[in-house]
Amino acid sequence: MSETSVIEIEALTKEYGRTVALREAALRVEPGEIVVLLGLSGSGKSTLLRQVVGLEAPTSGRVRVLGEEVPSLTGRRLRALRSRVGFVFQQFELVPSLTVLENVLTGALAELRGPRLGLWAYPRRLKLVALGHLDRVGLLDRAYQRADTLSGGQQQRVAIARALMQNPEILLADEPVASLDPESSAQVMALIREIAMDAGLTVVCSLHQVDLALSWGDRIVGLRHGEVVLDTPASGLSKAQVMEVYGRVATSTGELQAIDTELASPVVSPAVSPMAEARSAAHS
Amino acid sequence: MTTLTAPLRPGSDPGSHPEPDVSIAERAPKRVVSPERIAAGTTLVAIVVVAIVALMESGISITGMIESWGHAERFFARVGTIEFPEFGELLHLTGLTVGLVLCGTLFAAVVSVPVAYIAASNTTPGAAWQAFGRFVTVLTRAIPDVVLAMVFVLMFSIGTLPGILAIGIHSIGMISKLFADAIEQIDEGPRLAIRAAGGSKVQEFTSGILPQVLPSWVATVLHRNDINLRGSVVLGYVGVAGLGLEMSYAFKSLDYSLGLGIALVMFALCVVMEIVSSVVRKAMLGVAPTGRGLGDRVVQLAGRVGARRRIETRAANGLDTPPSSAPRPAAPVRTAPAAASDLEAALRRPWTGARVRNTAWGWIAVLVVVGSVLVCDIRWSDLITFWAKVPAIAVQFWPPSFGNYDAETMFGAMATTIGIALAATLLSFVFSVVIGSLAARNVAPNGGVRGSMRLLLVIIRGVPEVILAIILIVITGLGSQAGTIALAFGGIGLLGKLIADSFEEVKAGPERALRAAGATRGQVYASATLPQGRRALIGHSFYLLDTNIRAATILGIVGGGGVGYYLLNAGQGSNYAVVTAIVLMILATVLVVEGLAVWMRRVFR
Repeated sequence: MSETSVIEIEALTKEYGRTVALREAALRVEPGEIVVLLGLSGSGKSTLLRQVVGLEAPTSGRVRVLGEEVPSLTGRRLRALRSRVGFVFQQFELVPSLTVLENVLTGALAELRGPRLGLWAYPRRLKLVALGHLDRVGLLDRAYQRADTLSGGQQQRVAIARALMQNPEILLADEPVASLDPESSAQVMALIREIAMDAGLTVVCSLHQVDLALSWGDRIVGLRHGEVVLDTPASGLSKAQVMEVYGRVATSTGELQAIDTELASPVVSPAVSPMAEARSAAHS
Repeated sequence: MTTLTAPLRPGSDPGSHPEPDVSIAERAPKRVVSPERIAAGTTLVAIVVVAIVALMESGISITGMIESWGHAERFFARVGTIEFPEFGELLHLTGLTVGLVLCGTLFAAVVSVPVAYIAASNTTPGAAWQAFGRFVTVLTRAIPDVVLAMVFVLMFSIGTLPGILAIGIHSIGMISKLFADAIEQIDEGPRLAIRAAGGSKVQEFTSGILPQVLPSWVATVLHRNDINLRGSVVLGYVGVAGLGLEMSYAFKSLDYSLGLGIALVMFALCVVMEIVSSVVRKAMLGVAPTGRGLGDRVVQLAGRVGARRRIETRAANGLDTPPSSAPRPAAPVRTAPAAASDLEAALRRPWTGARVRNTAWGWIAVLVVVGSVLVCDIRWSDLITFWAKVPAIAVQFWPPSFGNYDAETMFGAMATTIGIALAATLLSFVFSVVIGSLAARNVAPNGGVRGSMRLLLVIIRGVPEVILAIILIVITGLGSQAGTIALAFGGIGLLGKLIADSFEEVKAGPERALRAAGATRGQVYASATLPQGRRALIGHSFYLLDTNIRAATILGIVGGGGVGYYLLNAGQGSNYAVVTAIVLMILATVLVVEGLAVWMRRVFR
């Protein structure tokens, strides 16, 4: 199996001082899977995703991505691996004072040599590719605006275009819609899924909304207090199973009761419900 | 959602991009660069070119440096030993210098409060008030303290008052500007709450604004105090009492041993003052504002050690019960009004460690202020009598004229001064970008590099540039070369620190995003750090240029070339009309630079 898995994480533990962010976490992702990491804030989702591209070093455990042992990589080989994995952040993390196009182009830095400052420093071929990706996310007409003149949803779409610029094999998204309004969220989530399907990308996306996870992902991996507590396909779940998903990721009985009453009224069929509908339940 | 135009093939080779659709370039909007941006860019390039020319003409060269080194060796051989004034005399002079600097800075701080209040856009009573406040700010900043001192020395009998007033009035410019900036950055919420509760304007200020800006204000005043101490040397050259006056006497009578001795004392004094202000900042603010400077770090370390010792002694005395063994009972929820005796007891604020410390520091501050006023031995009567002399002296200053000099000489001298400032700024910029970047946490390859660069900056900042210039001039002879090197050196300390700080303040997210995409350190620097820090970089560089033009004038007074020489001559020869003409030239230049800086900052956001 290890020949085919694109991400293999075993017994991964990460401690910050005395806080344990991840405890003996394990995860295996096959090519083309769309996986949701589900958990509340502080459950270790971000830490897990950052381990995949070596933005943080593990305290112990194995992280194998695209056939490489990530913690052992340094310098050029680490950057080579990172360039094969796209990363979308909760806060978009665009450079505010640069144009949208240059922001997208920065995704291609790994294949270029040396520092680049200014649009003229990038080859025409890459600029065309970048414009293509901007077109793909529907923002071609904004190419030469400053990134900070865009709305949150638009900025996140630029960030997706930047990730696409890496021509990635895996796309990681860390709470990509947590800072967005419901409408932009729906747009961004749909876009990620569309692109992933078209390009056959493997996607690991962290979310904290159970309904969104159920309707959007193919597979759900639940995290709580740094431990993997759930690993299930997202479709074809019975109501009892859905309840269990909520139960596993929620923390207090109060929360569970709230969910219970919520589920009692409008029954949402998790696998097929349109996102917008499902979201309304989570936001009440 | 638009249709897929740039198809992504699954499993395509990493790094190879799908064939771009060329028609996209036609559909993409054309890039529009605003004409203003082009104009600003051209201006910037022009300034850099002029600076390069000025640098080449200043005669700084490697061979020249080596030659100067020969001069230096011979010079020090001739000087022999370094002498100091006798101890009692030295103590008195030091007290006098520190005292008048403190008095001047405090005077400026007090006057700056109302000026800042009317100049800040969110507190100003009206547009006219604001314009007036800004005018005061710019005017006081533009007139060098030396010029003010020259004027005041005429009006008062020699003493400390001319120095205090010169430092005070000149400092209003910077202090009120930074005070106003701090007011503009406050959170409006608390102020609004006080207004909503029916508070008056004054209450809004004292309860809503003052608590928010006080830490920044204290830091500003301390910072300005350091600057004033460094600048006080030059005031001695125009007759203000203190170490500077003794030093100028020593050099004029070619007593280099004594002159260098006093310079050394002055240097030590600057370092001590820097450490003291760091301690005061820490004590008054209760927080380490940045924790970046060397002084700050020493203070923090001392604080930690002290705290540990206190805890240990307390534990040893059995005063402290460990919190885990005896948790305090939760306070009962009050249902009935508290007994009067309880309230009476609650009226007395407990003497916590923090309160004791604050009070002690407060009293020390008061003592220092009273002490410096006493040391200065101000003749208060002068403040009343001098008004009588004002008209007679004012007439001599107006109308401005070039006197015996022809206009060409004067404009040439001004050009030399601007040239020195530009060349020095360029040199500082080049070195500061390298050192400052490496001193930034998010750019430096490791803590060791960052630490050593920060240390280097602290050491450079510790050297007062006027003293460096005086020594260089004594060694290499008069001329713009010494002035340029001295200014450039001092500039690195200032600009390097500002660059390092503003690079550390850029958002870390974009840098992380590029690292996650596999970019190298250099690429992250160029594509994320630099673009985010660009505005600060331009702003700080123009600030340095602005400072350097004034400083270049002052260096002329001690023999560094340029218009300062004529200024001193005119002042000493009582050609006050010439002084006015020169001051107006400096004023015009500074205003132009300031205007340029504002424009550049706006265009290159």
